[in-house]
Amino acid sequence: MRTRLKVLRAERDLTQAELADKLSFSRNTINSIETGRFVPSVVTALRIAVFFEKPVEEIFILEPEDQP
Amino acid sequence: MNTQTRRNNPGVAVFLGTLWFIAYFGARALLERPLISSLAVRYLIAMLPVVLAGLTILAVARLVRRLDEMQLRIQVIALSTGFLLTALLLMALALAQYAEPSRFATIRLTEVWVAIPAIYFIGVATARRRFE
Repeated sequence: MRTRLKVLRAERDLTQAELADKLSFSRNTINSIETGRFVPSVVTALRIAVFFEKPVEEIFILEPEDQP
Repeated sequence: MNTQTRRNNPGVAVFLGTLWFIAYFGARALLERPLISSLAVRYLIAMLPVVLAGLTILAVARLVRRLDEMQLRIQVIALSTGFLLTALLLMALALAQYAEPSRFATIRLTEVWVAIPAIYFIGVATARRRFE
């Protein structure tokens, strides 16, 4: 799975710390999601999607190898 | 320092944990010497570290409730690693006592728990390397 979180964050001109603060996550969590080291739960993904006002599948995209 | 970092400031837990360790070793040092004869006072000294341990656990529980999803996963991995490594350590010590009682009988199992925080931090470091 890949994520467009870093791009969306850059579009809003937010640092990782600022985004973490707005979503009540730690900065490390934002960094780990952006680098793909941590795959968030549905609830966390939806909270991010609501914040960016985008459908969740526009932020988190399944790679061909992730699909059944 | 963002809101999440501020809310997860472990200062109180670290302070209470430090007091707990000092009280534990202080109580042991006092109780191992025949300085205090009153049984009530000896029990009072013996229970002081338990009270501080309880307060530390409460402070840690408050921190855990505020962790986000990834931080919780790190803690789960750290605790399960710590539990398994502690079980291995205890089993190894118990079997070593059977193998060579003269050498390993001097190791007090009551001191094994002191190793648990170190093992837990190994678990935290391992989990953080995986996610961060």
